[in-house]
Amino acid sequence: MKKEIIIGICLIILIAAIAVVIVPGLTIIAPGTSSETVGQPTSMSTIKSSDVAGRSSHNLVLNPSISMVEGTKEMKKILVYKTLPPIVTNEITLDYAKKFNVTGALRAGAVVQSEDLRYGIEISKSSGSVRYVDQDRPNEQMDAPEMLPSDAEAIEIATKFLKDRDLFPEGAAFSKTYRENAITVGEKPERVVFGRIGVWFNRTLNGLKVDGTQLVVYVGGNGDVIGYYANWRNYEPYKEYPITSPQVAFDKLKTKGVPVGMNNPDTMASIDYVYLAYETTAGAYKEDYLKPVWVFKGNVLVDGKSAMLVEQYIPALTDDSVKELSL
Amino acid sequence: MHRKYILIWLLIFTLIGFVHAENMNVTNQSQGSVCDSGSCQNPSDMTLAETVTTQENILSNETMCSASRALQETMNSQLYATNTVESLSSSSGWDVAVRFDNAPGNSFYPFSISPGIVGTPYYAQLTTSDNTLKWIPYCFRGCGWETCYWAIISRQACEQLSTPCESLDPATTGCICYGGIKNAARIDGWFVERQRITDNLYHIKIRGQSLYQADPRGELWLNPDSGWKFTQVISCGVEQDEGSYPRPTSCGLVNDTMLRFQAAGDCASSCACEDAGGIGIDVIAEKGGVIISPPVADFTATPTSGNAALPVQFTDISTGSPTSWSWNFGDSQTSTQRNPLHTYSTTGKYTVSLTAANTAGSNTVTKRGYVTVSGKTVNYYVFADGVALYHGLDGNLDLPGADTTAQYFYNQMTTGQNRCQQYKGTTYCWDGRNNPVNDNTGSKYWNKLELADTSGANSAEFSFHVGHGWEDGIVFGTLNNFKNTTRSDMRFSRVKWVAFDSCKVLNQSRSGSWGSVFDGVHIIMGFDTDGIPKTDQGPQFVERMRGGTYQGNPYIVTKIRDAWMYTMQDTTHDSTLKGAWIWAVPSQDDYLPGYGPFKEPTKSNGAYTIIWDNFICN
Repeated sequence: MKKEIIIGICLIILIAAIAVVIVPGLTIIAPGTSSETVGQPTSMSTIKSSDVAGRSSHNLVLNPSISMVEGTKEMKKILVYKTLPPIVTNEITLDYAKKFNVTGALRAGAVVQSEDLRYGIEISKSSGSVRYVDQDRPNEQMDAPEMLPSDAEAIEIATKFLKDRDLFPEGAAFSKTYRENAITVGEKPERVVFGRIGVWFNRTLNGLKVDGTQLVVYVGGNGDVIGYYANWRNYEPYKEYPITSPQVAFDKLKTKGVPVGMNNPDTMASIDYVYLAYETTAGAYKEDYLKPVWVFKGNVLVDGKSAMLVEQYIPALTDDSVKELSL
Repeated sequence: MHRKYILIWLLIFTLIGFVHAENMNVTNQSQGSVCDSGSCQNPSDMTLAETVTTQENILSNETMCSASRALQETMNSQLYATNTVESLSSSSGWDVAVRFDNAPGNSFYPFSISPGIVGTPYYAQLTTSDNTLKWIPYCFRGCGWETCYWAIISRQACEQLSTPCESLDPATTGCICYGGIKNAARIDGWFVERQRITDNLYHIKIRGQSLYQADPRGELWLNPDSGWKFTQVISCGVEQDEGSYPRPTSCGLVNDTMLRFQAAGDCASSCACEDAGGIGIDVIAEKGGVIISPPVADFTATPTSGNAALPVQFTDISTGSPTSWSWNFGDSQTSTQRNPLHTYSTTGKYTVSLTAANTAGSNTVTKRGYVTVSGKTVNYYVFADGVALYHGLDGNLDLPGADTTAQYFYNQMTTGQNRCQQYKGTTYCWDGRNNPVNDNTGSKYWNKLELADTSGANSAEFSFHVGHGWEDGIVFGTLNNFKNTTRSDMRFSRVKWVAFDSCKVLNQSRSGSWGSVFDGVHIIMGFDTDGIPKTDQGPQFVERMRGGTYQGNPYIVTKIRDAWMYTMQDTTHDSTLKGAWIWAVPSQDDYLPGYGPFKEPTKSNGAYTIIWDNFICN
């Protein structure tokens, strides 16, 4: 028995040593930091890919310029959160409709839409995600670029809108703004016809980022709120479960490969950014628990330049943990 | 036979008219008692002296009737005070007017003892000095028969005339001289008279008959500016009898100042001149009056059949002065307008009802299956293409869910009860143009080597491709090969809505190039970064456009482009995923045909403004 234990320890040491030798640049980013603010790789120029997409490369390297962050790499366990089943009732749906001033018939307990189809509230029975739409917006008459507020104004409008209607969930934090612009094509110069500003919020749990959570308020001309989407599930702490090491996750990623378009399957992809996070599923699907993941971000390199971005999620729970959670 | 009809009818008139006339004696009662007992003598066989004697004693000595005959005269001195003959015109201060458009058989006496001219309106006042109800019935009952005539002047009035008895001219005075006694002449005709009840309340009566000709018709109306209104119809009857056949007639208020009476038609020349007609009308005019009889609801409409969307003009023809209207068009739509224009958007037979109301009450008429709306069916076609395996394309990632995603989209669009949907009277049906790809036999694809119509892709209105793509085209795998179809090779003749569930398609860096494929295409949707087809995307996309339900989740009816965006947002969360559209203005506003407004697919020789837009999925 002791002999077996000694052999096992030796194997672990051996594997760890190999890993250090092969991937000396593996980097683990401190938990809870966002991709917008920390740890982005050095800037790379981007080239256009003109080839057919669909190939994958297993030639992955870790960017040696990024050092490992203390703390996370030693994590052996992670707190897993159970997902609370969504509650969708007539009252809840009508309450949302009231908050967004949508009047119309209630359908299937989860949809309210105005008679002219323009305004609607929709709640997913799978996830509890909520969507508000104004299908006439954005448009050229009301949402031309000069009519849109600044990003700062949009953030203020969106935040106030959410808080005034008790739609600002606990733990939500501003993430980014993103302007979706409709532009003419074929005209020179191209011009922005209209647009809207998405003000995004994210969340952390247990000090880790929850990827996939979506809370966005769309702000249009005159500062009008013209859209809303929230895939913001409710969780409760469940148990701690063992997780794989980032190195094991990286090995899995190499086995899986990353898309490189129609570039040569041997094209190198550089992983520049690794962090432990939770990953929530998209709003169309049910979820039993919040999955811990290792997130790998980087670039597909062609002639030393970035051809396309890499973003991959590798489950962090051990197989035994997943099996236990699924029971 | 006809005479019997008329007599019965006139008795009814008399009963109705006199019972409601507060200031008149009801002589029918005495008439009945007189005539019930014993044989009667034809008045023509009587001397006038006998007649007069009989009249004078009729109320006090009923036994006179049993002697031989009955001659009754309704008399009330208060009703015969004067005999006003007015000469008012439409521009002078008139209150009431009458016009006979046909006065068959007899003369027409409009508010006077002088005959009027058929077709000419006559005007009169309703004033305190005008209390000249001048008509009186002479009813003669013989042995087994009875008839009535109408006199317009009483014996007392004749007696008051200064004209010597022997000089009386019946034609101008209504009086005759017989045996040295002035008496009322019996004049047969159509009479229009006024009876004052109070200063502000008058009966207007029209009486008359013709034994040998039918079809009396005309109008009675009040000056709308005078403040008088018809407030009650006590009786309104027209009878026409041609041969032995009563014919339809109508009589009633058109509104609170207009009454119309008419028989259905004149006696045909073939009639044996045994025709008869009669009128018994008694309406109350009240100054500042309020209608106290409910209207009779009725309406017409045009057209009453046609294809949707069918605008129908409804016209109120209710009588009795309705003041409010309530329409139910049978398609859950209503109106309170008097003459509404309503458009039926869906096919069917519609029962229409109108409720007309005034202060006295309401009346409803319902016409079942009154409007028939037909519709047309438009068939649109779907092409779906999923490419999971890339035969011969070394190193390419297979997309195991691609076939299923396309197949689900295809099935969702082309099968089930929602395959056809009606919108604004047109039924849109989505049919399959081609079965989804089976990788075992080779993919169908669009490319320059295979005509689009051969594969079916371009013979559909809506195409859905799932597989690999790149920023300037899409890729197909065939049995032993793969094909790239570049943007420049895409030529659409019929396809209007295209969705590429393929990565890289519509990348912003090449967005400008995609304008070349537009000529009648409304919108192309795709990813502009790496996407991962998911089985759920096809059917969810369909049900979002329809406002249907998928996997227990109901959706709002969503514009095509937004349905695409929401589907992507709901099925992915990768922050690198971006969706994009390219559309030809203004087609981005399309709903799926059958589920909302859209632009009928047309071509404009590429004269579009093309716009590119994107969204992020997280």
